[in-house]
Amino acid sequence: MFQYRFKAVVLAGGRGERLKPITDCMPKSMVRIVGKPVIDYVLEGLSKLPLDEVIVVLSHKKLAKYVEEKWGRALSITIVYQKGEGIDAAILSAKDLVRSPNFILAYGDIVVNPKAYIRTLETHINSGAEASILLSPKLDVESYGVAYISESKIVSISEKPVPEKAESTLAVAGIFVLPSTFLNYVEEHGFTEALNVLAKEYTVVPSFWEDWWVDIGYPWDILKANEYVLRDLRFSHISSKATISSKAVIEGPLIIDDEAEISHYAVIKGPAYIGKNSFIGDHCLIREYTSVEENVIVGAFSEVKHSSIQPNVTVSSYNYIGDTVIGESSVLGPHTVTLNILPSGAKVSRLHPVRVKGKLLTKLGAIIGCNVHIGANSTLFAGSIIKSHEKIKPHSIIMQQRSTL
Amino acid sequence: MCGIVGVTCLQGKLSSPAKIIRKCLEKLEYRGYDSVGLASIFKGMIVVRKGKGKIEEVRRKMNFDGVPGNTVIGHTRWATHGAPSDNNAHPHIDCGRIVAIVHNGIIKNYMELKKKLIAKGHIFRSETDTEVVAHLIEEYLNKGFKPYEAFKKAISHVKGSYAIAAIIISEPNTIFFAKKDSPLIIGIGDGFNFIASDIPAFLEHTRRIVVVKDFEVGYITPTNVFIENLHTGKIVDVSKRLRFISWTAEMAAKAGYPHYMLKEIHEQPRALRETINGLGEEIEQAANMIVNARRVFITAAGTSFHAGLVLDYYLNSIAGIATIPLIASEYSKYVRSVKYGDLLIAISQSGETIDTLMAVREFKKRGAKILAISNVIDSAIPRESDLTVYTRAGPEIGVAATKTFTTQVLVELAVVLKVAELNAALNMDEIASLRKQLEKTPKIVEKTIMKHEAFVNSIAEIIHRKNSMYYLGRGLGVPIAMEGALKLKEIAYIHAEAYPAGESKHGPIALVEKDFPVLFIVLDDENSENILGNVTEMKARNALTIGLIPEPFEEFKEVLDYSIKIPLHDHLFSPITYTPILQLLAYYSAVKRGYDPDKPRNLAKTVTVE
Repeated sequence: MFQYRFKAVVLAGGRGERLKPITDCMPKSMVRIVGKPVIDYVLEGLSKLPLDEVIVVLSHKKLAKYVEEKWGRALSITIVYQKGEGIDAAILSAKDLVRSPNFILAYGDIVVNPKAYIRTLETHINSGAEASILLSPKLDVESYGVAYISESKIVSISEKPVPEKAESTLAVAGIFVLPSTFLNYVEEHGFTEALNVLAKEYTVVPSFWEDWWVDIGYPWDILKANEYVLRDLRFSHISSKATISSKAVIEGPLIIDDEAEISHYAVIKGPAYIGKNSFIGDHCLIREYTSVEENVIVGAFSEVKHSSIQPNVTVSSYNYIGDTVIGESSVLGPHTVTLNILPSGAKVSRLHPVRVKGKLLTKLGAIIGCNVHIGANSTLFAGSIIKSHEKIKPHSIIMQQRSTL
Repeated sequence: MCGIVGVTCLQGKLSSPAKIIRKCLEKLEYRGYDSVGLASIFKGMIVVRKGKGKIEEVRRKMNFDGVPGNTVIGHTRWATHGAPSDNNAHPHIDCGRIVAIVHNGIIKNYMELKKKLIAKGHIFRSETDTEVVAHLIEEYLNKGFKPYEAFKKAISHVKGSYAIAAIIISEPNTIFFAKKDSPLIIGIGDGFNFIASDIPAFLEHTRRIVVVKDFEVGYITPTNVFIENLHTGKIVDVSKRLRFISWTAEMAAKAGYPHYMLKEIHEQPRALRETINGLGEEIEQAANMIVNARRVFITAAGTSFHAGLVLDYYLNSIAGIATIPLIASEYSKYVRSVKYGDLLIAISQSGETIDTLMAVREFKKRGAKILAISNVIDSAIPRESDLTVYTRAGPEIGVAATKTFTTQVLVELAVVLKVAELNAALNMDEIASLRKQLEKTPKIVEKTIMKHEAFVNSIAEIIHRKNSMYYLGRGLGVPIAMEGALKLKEIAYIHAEAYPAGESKHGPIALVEKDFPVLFIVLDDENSENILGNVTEMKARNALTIGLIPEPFEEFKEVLDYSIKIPLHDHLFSPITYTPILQLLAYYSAVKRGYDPDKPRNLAKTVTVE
């Protein structure tokens, strides 16, 4: 039977500047969210669509290898190395390969339910329009492109508007169906303006995403994505290959992956994720929305909440880790404490205050790069950033914050 | 909006094509359901079965399933030109019964075409815009054009929006089609082909589809599909446009939205615009009825009752006419006092609400005149009323009323401005200025939704965890608050109470504790100072305060935890401009609680039992 199939272009290149220092040792799309690299969320969504080719534009060999090994069988993958910086360069790197009247464009750093991909293509097919763009309501318009809808059509798109002047709060959600002529527009006008030209010349319809959606732009977006993915867990999954002490207390929903070990008297309060081959020491408390990725050790008597611990990290005993992201292969000495309440009035892009007992608090712990060594008995103030490969002496008090925070 | 569908198949390829078309029509019912019909070609004749009413009724009466023929077209209608009636139902045929057509859209130049055709001796059977196309095709056939050429010629005269399917007896295995602005999809089968307004209509039979684009015309036969551009004559390579639908496309009707309710909230600018465009002489007639009435009663149920309370406010405060609003199911209390010369204004979206209908009948029996406001042309209440003013919101599928409420308010305002003109309650300048602002409401609603959707979503993140909430307002803010509370109750299942803000101290404030959510409707009217006091008193009890405020009202921002700024305009328009925000709040709260806002538990769209 003849089947009309689409090509997809995934943008997974670039350095991930805003995500530094987490991306010092791994490409942005390899950052783990609940046991999977970000790129898996994108490719999983695309795998639900009728595609005959997925062109992945990227900059790292490591990522290319991963994508080919993991997805090579399920999807017909073509790898293209990105030439130049920025989204225009990324899209144009795939220009010569598209060769079909229209194509699906997907950002490589979006964590969303696979249904979002289905909905975008469905909207496209059903509407008969030349292009469809997924939109999602977002507060922080200053860090997204926003689309204005009139008469059921997208009429204009503005990139990162000033919040007070923004006419729309419907963010462009990184999934598009576009005609291939769009690539010429990009060449001529650049990405955002190309979308505007498209909206002027053709019918561009919105597809609407009402549920959660995270663009992994800043380190704290990792925490948000963890939270949403874990919140959607409907049941617990505990691998038969995991070792769990009979004295441990485990409250779901949670995922305990293969070869993970939960030692005596540890308490795990879901929703949480304990990755492959990770070890949770005696008397630990792992609280809600924590994602402990693979090969991580959490030493005895440590508490971890609402945090992301990337692969190969060691958290020694007696730590308190809250609202924190720890980059790959870092080591936190015993008695490391992260403070996690930002001074009132602190404004952080895409980080919103939460209401705790009537008070508005903005919570953020530390953002720790990769290969960091933190000496024993150190205290990290809320919002501190530790550069990759840094060695911090014992008994340090860290207050360094970056200007963009 | 209407739905069209057609199928043509080789003999024996599909068992009972007419029955298949009937089932397709049932799937298209969301696009309209006031009348329905189908036509086929059988033994060189055109067979037409059609009638007013729901598919279920008409198909039994007319035995749709028994219609013979391998080429069948069908239509389900949502009346725009001409009331729903047997004659106005599609398909329409020409004088010589050689052409039958179905159409979705509006033909703008039909009056002009109709006059010309009548001059040439054509006899029209309906009041619809569609029928002209059938006669046009006949005209060209009689001039000796081949069927497809005649069809193309006819289409080239048509202005407006259309998705048209036509059958002509001289080519019994062909369906001709044309499209502009209304959707049209071809479904490709093995020995049969479909054409329809959306994909789900025929998805059961084929998953291979071709989307027809604007200004394209062509035809389908059981084994062939031909498409070309009407103007350029460029032939479309169908195989290149062929798509395979590998999932169930239930979404088609929702046009990219996850739920009908969100779609309908977003549709409000268009619904308002179309309602404004549809305002006719009935506005003046309605205004006269009000001016000449001895007393004015207003009745409705649910959301329509809140629109009734808005009307009550308008008539009192703008036109200086005292009114008696009553909930329809409570009508019996007033029955003995109704006398000849009284007027009952009955508001019902569906026109079938049983409580309202009972009140209408009872009042009518006692000599009252009835003025109806409805969204469904010629439904039960309009039929039993002396006059009806229609909203043009289009079909509303979500059980929770959204666009029908704001359009109801809009027609009320149009009527009341006319009343104020007739009884000189306002001077002409004031009226002209208000009418001008009325024209702008669709744009204000569009901008407000665009600007605040994300913020409302973030407030819903807090509200959806609450068990109870107050909605407070003063004056015209009270019915807005009531409508907001009703939305939250009916789809998010959160207890919500609305009352005039001045009442807090007389009891309800006793329930307010830390973080209890209270939402304020603040208008640019004489109450704003008082309501600021009400916000402060709630804040003093550590309530979580949310406010919809006019943009320049800076002083409110200090006492409100969350303020949503609405562009400044005359407060009279606020039921139209504020309510969409409350609808969104309820919508996102429901979604976050994991409920389907389109199908709230225990509720039906049209309440037809007492």
